[in-house]
Amino acid sequence: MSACAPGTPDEDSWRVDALRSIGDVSSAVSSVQLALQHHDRLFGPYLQTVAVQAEDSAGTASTKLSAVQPPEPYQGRSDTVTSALDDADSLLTDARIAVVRRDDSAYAGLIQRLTKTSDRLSRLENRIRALPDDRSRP
Amino acid sequence: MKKLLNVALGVLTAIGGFVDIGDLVTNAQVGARFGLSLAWVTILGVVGIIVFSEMSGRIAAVSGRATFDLVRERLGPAMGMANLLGSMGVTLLTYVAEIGGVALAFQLICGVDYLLLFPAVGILVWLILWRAKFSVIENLFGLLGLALIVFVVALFHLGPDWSQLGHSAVSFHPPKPEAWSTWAYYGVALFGAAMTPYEVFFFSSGGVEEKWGVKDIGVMRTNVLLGFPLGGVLSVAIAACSYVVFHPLGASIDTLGQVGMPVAIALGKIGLAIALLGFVAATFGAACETGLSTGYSIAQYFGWQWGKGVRTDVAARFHVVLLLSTVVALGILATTIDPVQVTEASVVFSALALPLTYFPILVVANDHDYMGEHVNGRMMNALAMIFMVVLTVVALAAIPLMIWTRMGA
Repeated sequence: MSACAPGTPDEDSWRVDALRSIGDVSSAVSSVQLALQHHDRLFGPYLQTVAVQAEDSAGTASTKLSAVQPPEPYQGRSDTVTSALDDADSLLTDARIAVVRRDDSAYAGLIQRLTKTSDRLSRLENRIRALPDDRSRP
Repeated sequence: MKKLLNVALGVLTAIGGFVDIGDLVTNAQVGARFGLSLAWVTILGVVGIIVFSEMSGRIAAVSGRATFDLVRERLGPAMGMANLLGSMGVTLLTYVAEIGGVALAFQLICGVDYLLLFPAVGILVWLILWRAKFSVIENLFGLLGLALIVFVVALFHLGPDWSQLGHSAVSFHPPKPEAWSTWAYYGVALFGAAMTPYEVFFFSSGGVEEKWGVKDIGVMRTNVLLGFPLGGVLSVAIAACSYVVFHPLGASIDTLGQVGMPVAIALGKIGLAIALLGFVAATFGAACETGLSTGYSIAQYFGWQWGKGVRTDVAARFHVVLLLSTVVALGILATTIDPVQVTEASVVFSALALPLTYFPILVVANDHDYMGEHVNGRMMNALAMIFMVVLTVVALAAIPLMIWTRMGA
């Protein structure tokens, strides 16, 4: 039974995992944002592939982190991170749906939401990176 | 005039054939995260591949025999086998990455998932290895690979801050907040991508296929000395484009689609179409070269008949190896493993196998019995010895850095 329980890493290890997942999801968000901003310069299948792969990549990163049980002191922070990553995943799904449907009219709104999400993830990343030394040493 | 055309063709194919999926992905990743602070590694790798390609080309031209053929004879079966296993493992991994890379490039063109495309790509690669002439494989994809020059054009169109780019190129440290260990890990990967072992096997075996003689050494040197550095320029341009577009966003690069986006942003759909042509040509050409290299290495080690110039029934075992390696590559891709991750692993394992690959070449190039008056000179040996030290350090550092940084996380 114990083999089925999620791993409980130490605080530093969770922090590294969290930073990696936030970075991966943030990259996916930025890439789709960039692709939508320049959608008239990309072929349809290319834009679609970028959107689909970004969604997959972000989903994988979020799932990886959610499979790790955070250490006790980081429980609250973990909830914040998980929530932010889930929101980003949903947004990337919305973007992929719009791209596959060739719904150009939705792009402007999506770009705004992606920009906000990117800023939010960036702030979150900085906060976790700036944790006190006793919890943040690699 | 004909000789001049041959030289031009050789140089152009060397430029176009220099970049493969490992160079595309690794340079773009490094550019986005570290700017041009690792461009010196690419330059070092280009000098290294020039040194050892020249040596292996000279060996082929003087002896009429290819690398593995001589390694087993000169260093014995045990050393030959160690050399074969190390190099073959990496070449096969690279073959998987290249076939996956072709499928990813086609996905960008047609939108169909690469998992549905890679079996057809594998069969097409195998058919080309079986049926196409060597010159077609070497020249066609090499010339089409020149389309990647679009990255150089795109860089100018992006209008970067050149002083910032220059500053990045001479700052030999990681930009904040990247760690030294991660920077060093990507340096190792970049070096492995530039000096991938299959390039030398293909080059020397190609020399035998094309029946190089001593009189061809000059042309071979011109191809190496002009083609590889210009190919290196393409690598640096890919890194610079990623730096300009992705670094300000703090985004990392994980897909081939991201690699082409700077070109689209700079040059629009026409530029993107050229980049896509370059992606397909570079990965397809490299898939053929790595596929052939697996056949070359095994056939040469065991002393079987090999080569595209030999009738299929005469070189049957060589062709069976080509078929089996393609089946194995497709089997690995069928596990749905991400080809980009395979690429990332293949360039690091390339770095690990470098001394094993290049040391025997250095030994044979110094053997008067094989090389006669064309044996390595002092200058060449000094350069090669410096590189052997570098290769050993890189190989020793590869795995610890891979583990320490969690593959560059």
